[in-house]
Amino acid sequence: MVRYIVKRLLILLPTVLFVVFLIFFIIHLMPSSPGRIILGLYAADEEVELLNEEMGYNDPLLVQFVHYVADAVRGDFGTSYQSGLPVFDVLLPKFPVTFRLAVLSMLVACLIGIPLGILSAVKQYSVVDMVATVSSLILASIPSFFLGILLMLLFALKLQLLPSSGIGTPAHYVLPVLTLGLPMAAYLSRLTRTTMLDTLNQDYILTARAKGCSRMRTTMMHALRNAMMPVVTQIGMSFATLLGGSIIVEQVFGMAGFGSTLLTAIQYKDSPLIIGAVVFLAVLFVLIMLIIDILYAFLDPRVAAKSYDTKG
Amino acid sequence: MEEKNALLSVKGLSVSITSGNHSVVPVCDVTFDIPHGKVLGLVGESGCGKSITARSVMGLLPRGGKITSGCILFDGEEISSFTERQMQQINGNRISMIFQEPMSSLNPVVKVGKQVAEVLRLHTSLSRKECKAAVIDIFTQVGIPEPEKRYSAYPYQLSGGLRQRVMIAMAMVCNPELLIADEPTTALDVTTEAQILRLMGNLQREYGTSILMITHNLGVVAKICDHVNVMYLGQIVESCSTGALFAKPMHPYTRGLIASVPQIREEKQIVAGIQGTVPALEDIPSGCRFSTRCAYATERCRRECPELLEREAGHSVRCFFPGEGDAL
Repeated sequence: MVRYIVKRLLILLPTVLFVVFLIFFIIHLMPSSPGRIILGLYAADEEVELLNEEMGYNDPLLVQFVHYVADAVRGDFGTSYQSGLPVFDVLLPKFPVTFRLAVLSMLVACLIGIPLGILSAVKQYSVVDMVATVSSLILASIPSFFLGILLMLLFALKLQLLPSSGIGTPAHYVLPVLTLGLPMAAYLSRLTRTTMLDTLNQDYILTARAKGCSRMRTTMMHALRNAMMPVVTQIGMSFATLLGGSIIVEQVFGMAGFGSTLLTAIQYKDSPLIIGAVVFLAVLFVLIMLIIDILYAFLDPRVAAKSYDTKG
Repeated sequence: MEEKNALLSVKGLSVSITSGNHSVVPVCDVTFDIPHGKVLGLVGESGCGKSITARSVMGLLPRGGKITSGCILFDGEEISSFTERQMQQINGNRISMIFQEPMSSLNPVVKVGKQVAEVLRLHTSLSRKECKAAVIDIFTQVGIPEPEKRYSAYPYQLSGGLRQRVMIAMAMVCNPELLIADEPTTALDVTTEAQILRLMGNLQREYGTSILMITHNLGVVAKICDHVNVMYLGQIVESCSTGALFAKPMHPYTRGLIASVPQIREEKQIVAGIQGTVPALEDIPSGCRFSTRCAYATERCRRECPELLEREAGHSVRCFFPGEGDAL
């Protein structure tokens, strides 16, 4: 298992390098240059050119890339054009807000979505199932900015129960968490229902019933663990996406998180900040996928056995 | 068969399965008894209602399935009217079942020992430790080598034969009065089949368990069954002792089944079969259900359905012309 993890961590390196190269290339296609961005629209062309030369902007792309990677390995990801601060000094303070938002939304999604999905599967075509299906469909189809504004209108303006924007108190998190969590809960409940229905048709479910297990016990002890595999994958993917910061929800609720920082960086063409943020996200994503794979091995002994085989 | 001593008594059982507004009757007026300590074979082609009959005994009909008439008596109690909770007390404990596919009948993510132990934990008050000891004991009895080590194995780590032994251990661990075996050897190779049948025979003799053996394999019937019911399209067409089945089969369908078993003694032969295929349940022929495939069918056969009548002592046949074509 340890060797498997080390191996996966080693794969992380080329993945991240490739991501950096891609983003480097794309940013280079942007009109304007670092000198122009830093010095402003009214600076003289000569000064801009001088700064560009100094920053190595006129070097071939590959040379710039190699320089960037060499610096990055030493922990230097460059400085933000806007603030003049090192990239990670700008990014990291924004992360806790996004992290809290992600964890809470995911919790809401799991706590509502999975039980609802199980219930829909066990009571297929019942009233519960119908209601769950329809509400899931509605929730999953509403764009998050619209759902966010609806929630804000209802709870912040009409009922005046919750604050509408900012990050001061726990109450500030309720609406954004619901905005992110509910559609995800809808999706998870659908997925859980599908995989659960599939699992409940398996032969070993009949075996369990023939042993004298109640329906409840059969569902929870025999079906659930087998049905959870695709759900766990989906949770991991959604969580990784959430950690990238929800640009829209952070904007709607005025939360200065990772997403809104990235958005401002893009608006200012602050390339070191953009690249830094993307690298950070790429690493995060790969790590979360690794955690899911390890979880898989715990859920299903066959997967663990396979990973032993491939390590050679 | 003496009705008073029967352990399991199925009387006029009919089952319907409804999905949407579409309904089929896979089991139609099936009656049989299993006396204590006897092995009854239920023989027929795929889809003739054998498995549904077995599942209705355990109260585990598939979605949309319902007993429409008849009743099932187990040890004098009418279990067909039991609640789900009452059946849970009986299933795995007094009646247990072995399935066809040992590959898919075990939960892939739970250790096999734990799966067998679960039966004990459901039906006895043994402690965790005692359960484990009992499981290792039954593993030894069903011939699983290195039972302590196998206790912690996952199903994918075992061969088909071993998995079926685990299934048998699971079925026998509470020492049930009735064991329902639904084609227990179909998925196994021939050598393993012989071993599993021998094992089941031994256990049956040792514990006096009654067995309902569902199979389409007449070899299995010959090896283990005392009495045989042949089913065709949801009806019992012939019911007799195993000896009589092979010595003097009366129903044309039974004769066809026996004729389609290749004989090793004859040098060159064409294995006879039964003409045509089993009609779909939606499309049951009028009159005798076998008339569409029967070489001896007459106008009467196509018009009215014969009753299951006792033609000789302990030998019932559902045919207007039992034993027809003896000369052939």
